[in-house]
Amino acid sequence: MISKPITAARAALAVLAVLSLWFAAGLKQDSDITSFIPEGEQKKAVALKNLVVSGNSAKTMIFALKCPKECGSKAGACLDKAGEELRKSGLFEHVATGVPADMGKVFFKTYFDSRFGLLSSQPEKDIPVIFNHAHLLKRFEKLRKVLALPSAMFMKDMVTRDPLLLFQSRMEMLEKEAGKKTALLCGKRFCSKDRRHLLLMARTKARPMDVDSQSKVLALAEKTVEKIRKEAGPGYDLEFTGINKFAVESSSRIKKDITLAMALSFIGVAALFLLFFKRVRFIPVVILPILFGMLVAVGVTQALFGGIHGLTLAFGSTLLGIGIDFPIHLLNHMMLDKKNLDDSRQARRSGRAGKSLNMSLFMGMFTTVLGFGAMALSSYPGVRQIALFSAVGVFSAFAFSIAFGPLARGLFRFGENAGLRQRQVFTDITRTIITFAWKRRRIIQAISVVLLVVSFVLSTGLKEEKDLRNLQAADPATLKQDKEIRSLLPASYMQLLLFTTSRDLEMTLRKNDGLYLDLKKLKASGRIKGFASLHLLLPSLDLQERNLKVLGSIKGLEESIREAMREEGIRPAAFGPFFKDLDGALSGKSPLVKASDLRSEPGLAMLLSSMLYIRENKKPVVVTTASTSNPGDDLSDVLPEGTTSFSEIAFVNHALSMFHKEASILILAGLLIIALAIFGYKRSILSGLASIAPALIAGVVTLALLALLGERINFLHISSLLLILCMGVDYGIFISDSLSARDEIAFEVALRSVILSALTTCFTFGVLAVCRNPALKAIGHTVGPGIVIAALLAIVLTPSLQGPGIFRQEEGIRSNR
Amino acid sequence: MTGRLSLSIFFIWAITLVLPCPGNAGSAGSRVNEQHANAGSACSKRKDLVRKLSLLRTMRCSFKEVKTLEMLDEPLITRGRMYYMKPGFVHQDMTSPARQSVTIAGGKLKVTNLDLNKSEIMNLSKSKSAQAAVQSVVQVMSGRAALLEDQYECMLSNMGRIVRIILIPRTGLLKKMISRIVVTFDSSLVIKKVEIDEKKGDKSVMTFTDVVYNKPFSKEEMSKYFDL
Repeated sequence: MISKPITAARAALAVLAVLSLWFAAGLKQDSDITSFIPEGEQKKAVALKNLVVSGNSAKTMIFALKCPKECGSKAGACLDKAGEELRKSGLFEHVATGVPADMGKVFFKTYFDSRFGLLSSQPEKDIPVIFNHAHLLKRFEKLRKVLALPSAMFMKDMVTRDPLLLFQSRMEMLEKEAGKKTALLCGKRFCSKDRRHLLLMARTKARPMDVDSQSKVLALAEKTVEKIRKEAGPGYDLEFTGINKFAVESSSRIKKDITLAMALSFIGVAALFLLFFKRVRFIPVVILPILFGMLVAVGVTQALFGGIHGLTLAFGSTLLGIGIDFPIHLLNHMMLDKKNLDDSRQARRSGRAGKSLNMSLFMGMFTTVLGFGAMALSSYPGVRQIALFSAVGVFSAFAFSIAFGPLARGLFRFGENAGLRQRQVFTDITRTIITFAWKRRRIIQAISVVLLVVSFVLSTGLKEEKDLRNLQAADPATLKQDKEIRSLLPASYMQLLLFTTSRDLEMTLRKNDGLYLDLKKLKASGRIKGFASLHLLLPSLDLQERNLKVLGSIKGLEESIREAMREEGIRPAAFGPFFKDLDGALSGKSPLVKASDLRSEPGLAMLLSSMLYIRENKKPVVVTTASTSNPGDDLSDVLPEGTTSFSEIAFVNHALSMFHKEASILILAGLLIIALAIFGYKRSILSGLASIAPALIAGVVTLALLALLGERINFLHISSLLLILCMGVDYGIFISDSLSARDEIAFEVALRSVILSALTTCFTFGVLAVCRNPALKAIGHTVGPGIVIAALLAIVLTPSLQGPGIFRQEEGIRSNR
Repeated sequence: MTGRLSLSIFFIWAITLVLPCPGNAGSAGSRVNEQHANAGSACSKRKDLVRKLSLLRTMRCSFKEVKTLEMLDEPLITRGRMYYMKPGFVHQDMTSPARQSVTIAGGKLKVTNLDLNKSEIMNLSKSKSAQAAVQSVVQVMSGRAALLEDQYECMLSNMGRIVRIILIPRTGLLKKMISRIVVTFDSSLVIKKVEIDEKKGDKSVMTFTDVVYNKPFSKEEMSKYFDL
């Protein structure tokens, strides 16, 4: 007869399964590694960084056409064709192979008439110098040199309006500044410095991390590349890169890895199971709790987070290793229980063992959930998600096993001796080990202590993973290609982002004017190597007005210019248009450059798009990029108010360092909570220690192994360490409980179950170690060996610590024999 | 407009080598006025020029240019080297007072600041005037001299050991900007001087020395001068 609580539990689990299925059907997988960065103090910087990540720069793909020698018109035509293919697809917002043909005219139109307002970034200091006699003489000397050049004919008309070459100077600065943000120009085309590559920039409509949309974009890009390669012929090669390529590739590779890992795990676990139980019909008994656990974990996480990160799924797939423990123990118990049902004394003992087993299983689940519960306190949203996913999964697998496990009793047929002979051999071997362990307990304990100390010392040599990007599943070939293509762009080395914002655009531009001057000083001092600023393209209106004001305050300006001209052998009479323009500027008729002027010109708007973000109902943001001499320097100590810096390298260094500190605290906290739970449960220090020691030593030995292998540890290694602790503690509890029960069946069930669990877990995690994804590898490398060590220690060390229990009986059995 | 003018230096240099003889130029030849009595001799000289051109594969020389500009009190003096290779490669290196090079090759005009090693390339297909000027240079240097007859009125003077050709633009921008071009050869028909008078009063006089015909360019030279 089935009890009411069990029926209610089964009904509740069925409802939970349906609900989870409903949420899991809308599963949204995320592959953005920035989910694994902390919130809190740097939340603002992250938000601003995301503005850039989801902005135009991140949406831009770069296509590079390599030519056999300096690129000519054929290459240009090929790239134009590629651009046309991309444009007509409708998937791109903007496609450009160079600046518009009339870019020179655009610059002239935008800046020439405003040149007097753009004289200097520090007008009060510079303008009196620019227009002093000595400086004017130098300017006119330069004019003479320019007129002597073969290219002088290009400028003859212009210099009559601008003999001081103010516009030319401004253009040189702008060209230099624009060149930091875009590719170099060969004529009007984007090209590499060696002129052997022509470049095409294509900005997608979809966000770079929108895997579904970007898959279509990449398919089109691949098709276009193939077509152009064929048309261009030998010696030419077209390649492309973009953040979207990494997002799609990462998502695809992690999905493949997970599928492969799960398939291999399933096959491996099934094989191990057949080896132990000899019957296929038992396989669903272990698989169903795991599937149920996974389903509920996916459903709950999806419902609470609105999506699941690939790494959470990957880590969650390891639930296979934990979830399988519960049905294995139950099945082993049922199998041995069946054998002994005809013996009334044994049956009574078996009943007691069954209740004891349920308690052991509960404690196993409880300590694991406690361990992951500690992880849930993490400030890293990604880690919190993993914690929730794992805790829910483990609890669900346990609940399913307990609620539905008894139904499996019907699978055991009367008189069937499934694996009986093998069982006997197994029992004999383990009894031998146990007897040995008890007799040599002092040596085992001493070795364990030495192992712990040595491993602890070795683990201090562990190296930390400094670059979070190394956890992305990018193909090394793609990374290499990306690096090669990006090296063709001048500003690819600028990793520091500086965000300037204020209440309105004019105030933001004023702050940006100040930041420009600060950065110039930092460059002069050598603290930064270079920077790209919006300032030269778009100074504030205030600065332009100040320029004109200071210019107007110079007494006898026109006459001093004429005098310098005459002294340098230049005839002022030939420069009537210049003096007319100067008069206009002095009388306040000179136009000012405005953001709207730049945004209305497509060529300039493209330049502006990666530097100025104007959003509805939000403050405008100006983005400056810089490269610091020290890659970890984020300049936070010298930046003016209103400017925030974001250095991916500094940020990740800080984030990882913070994580390692936090993880250590969380693991210690988790261990403390688990220890308290176990000591509370055991009510004996020795038994508690016997339960915990294998996991603790296994964790430290695993760290030592990773150090010896030279592996750089990341947060997944550390998270996996918690997994070892949780599962290792489970093994300790099972063995310890079976010893406390002073029952041969309980002990046999525990022993057999721990070995089978460890083997299945080791197999499932071992599979992860061969995945291509570095994050999955990290889990596999840590948990695989760690769990084997924990199981071995639980089998050998726990009895040696806990005695006397069944070991005295075992000794008696041995001596009697 | 400025593109065409900037190329005039090459243009004129090329013209000096390829002026057509009336007999060879057909109807175009009738437009040539010979201002001096010794017409037979002049024609003979032009025939020699055309013949010489057809044999011309390479050329290199030094130049000195004196620019007299309305803007300046004193003329500007520049110096450098020039190179030509059939069918259409021209390179000029100015070495004094500043360093700049100009190269015409493969439909492109490249201007390089030699001190900064910084180049700007103009795609000639984007500028009709520049393209026309460069095509003129290339076609003339290749021996298709009759083309010039459409753009210039040609006059020949033979003053003893010196041959002078005077070109007066007929149409378009060139007519608006240039009054006349005078090209001077020595008795061996080696180019000596090119003078350009602009309508605004500016004047350029370019004299050539160390002229060497048909000395092949090495691979390194071809790469250096013509980006080949």
